Amino acid sequence: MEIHFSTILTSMLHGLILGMVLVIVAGGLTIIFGMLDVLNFAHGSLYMLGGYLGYTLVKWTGSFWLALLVAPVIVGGLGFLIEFFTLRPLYGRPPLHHLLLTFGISLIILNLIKFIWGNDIYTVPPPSYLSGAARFLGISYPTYHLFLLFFSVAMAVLLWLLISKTRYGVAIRAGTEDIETLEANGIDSRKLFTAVFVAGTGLAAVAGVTIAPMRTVYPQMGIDIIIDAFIIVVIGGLGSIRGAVIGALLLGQAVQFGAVFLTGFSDAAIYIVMAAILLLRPSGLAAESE
Amino acid sequence: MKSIVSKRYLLLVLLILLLFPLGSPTLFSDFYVDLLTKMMIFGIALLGYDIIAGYTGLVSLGHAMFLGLGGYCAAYSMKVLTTNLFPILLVGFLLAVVVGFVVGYFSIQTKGIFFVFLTLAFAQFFYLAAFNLTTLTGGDNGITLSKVTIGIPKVWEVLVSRPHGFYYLALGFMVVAYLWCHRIISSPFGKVLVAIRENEERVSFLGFNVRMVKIKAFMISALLGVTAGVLFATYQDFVSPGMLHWTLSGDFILMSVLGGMGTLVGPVLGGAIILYVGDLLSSLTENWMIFIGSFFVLTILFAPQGILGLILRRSGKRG
Repeated sequence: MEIHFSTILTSMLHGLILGMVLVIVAGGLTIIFGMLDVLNFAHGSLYMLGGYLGYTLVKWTGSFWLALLVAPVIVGGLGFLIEFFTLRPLYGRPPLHHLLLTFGISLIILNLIKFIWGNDIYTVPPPSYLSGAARFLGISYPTYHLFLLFFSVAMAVLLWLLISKTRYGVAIRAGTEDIETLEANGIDSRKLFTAVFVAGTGLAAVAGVTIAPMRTVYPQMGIDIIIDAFIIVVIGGLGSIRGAVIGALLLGQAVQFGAVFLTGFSDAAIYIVMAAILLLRPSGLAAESE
Repeated sequence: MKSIVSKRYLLLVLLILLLFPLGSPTLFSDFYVDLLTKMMIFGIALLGYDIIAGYTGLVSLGHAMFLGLGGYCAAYSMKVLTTNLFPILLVGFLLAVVVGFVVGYFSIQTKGIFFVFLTLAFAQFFYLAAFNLTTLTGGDNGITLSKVTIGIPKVWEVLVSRPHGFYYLALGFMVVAYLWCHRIISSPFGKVLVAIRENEERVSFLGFNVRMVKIKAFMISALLGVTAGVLFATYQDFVSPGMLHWTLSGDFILMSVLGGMGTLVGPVLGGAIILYVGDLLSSLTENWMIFIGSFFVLTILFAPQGILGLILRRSGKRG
């Protein structure tokens, strides 16, 4: 097989975009885990719900931007209900319980999506001025993909600013370290937990809507992303945001280059990366080396 | 050690299980004998899973790899070796010991959620291999097996009459598996397993080689997983990558938690319930996932010790 420079470049770009979208999804998952100690299995289904809602909203209103605004609000609202009614009674229980609870919720959401939208695959048109292709460095690349890259980088930077520069960010970072001290400083951790969960699920929906024009919305999209996102959270070091970002970018490349070099075995790439990282660093990338 | 469920009840259950097939087809259809056979085969794997997940506290998301290993082992042994069940099982045991040791050796370096995902990674290699090495495994289409034998033609005449014959074969294996597991957890080795679950550091201070003990427990669960895999494949005359899929590994966790981890009987009960409810719902409604999902949500919220835990608490005793 002959590998051209253009193939490499396209794969890298694809991998980078996928990695950045994974940063948004796994970032929310990581912050939720870091603070609430909850591995949210329903995260993938909520991302998927975002995608399907985005599709319907674009169809009804014709506006991609409106869909990008409304879908995350609806999904965030659902996130509020999930946190308030099912997760709250469970704080302090072993993480396995949260995983099973959210797995159950995930099944319910998946079934609702199937009930409303059926088993079909839908394409979501990007805004007309983003639908062409751009030429550079000898390749032709869809404009929307490039927009998605800039959009997700911007989102990630915004998130980073929020977490590192604002009072809320201080509370969130403190919450990942030590909840009791945070409460002793007069912060209502219950409200903060709810806010973090709602924000995380809203972010998942943002990712679901924005990736829809690139990858369509399809019945497997939730499961596909949740496995990747979990792997990122785990290899990142459970709750470490920096680790998750590195993990997501690594995984994005692994998936794309796996598709080029390991034809027929491409899915193995992410598991090879995960196994290698966990064997070398049993507590993930961000952990202090032993 | 006293069994968590008293011996009297277990003997009663055994008696019912022994007599059950006699009721078909007059009282109920063969379908239920078939379903119960599957429940018992799953039960064997769940007993093994409880040793590692329930007693040792190492929750694996890769247990399907052993079921699949058993399944493909049966398919291959039949192609090149024999259709006799017992040599096939022997080959399976050998594979279980080797793969169990290697996967256990590496996975056990990690703990908690990391262990969950490292075992998933190993299981996915097997799944992807079975799925992609089409010339060897038939890929997604799987392999159809020849009819299994046991070397004693006359006995087999009886056993081959499915589902009734195989039912008793599965029952026999499950009883042996239960007795074995019960013996293990009652032994000093079993106490060390529980001690590791409760406080690993102290166990190593006492001079135990914690890692070796964990690997042994992992190999025991592998052995029972492969046994169940061989039985399942020979019962269905079929093996496919579905037997290696991670959702099956997920089912093991769900079944165990639903029934009650670390009780041996609980996971088997949980497995039976999920197989029954899953079958019932998927035949009644297309929207079965909503019901199964709600079922889990309610279990975790209101009966986190599992159904067996709930029953035992109601009747005032706790294992």
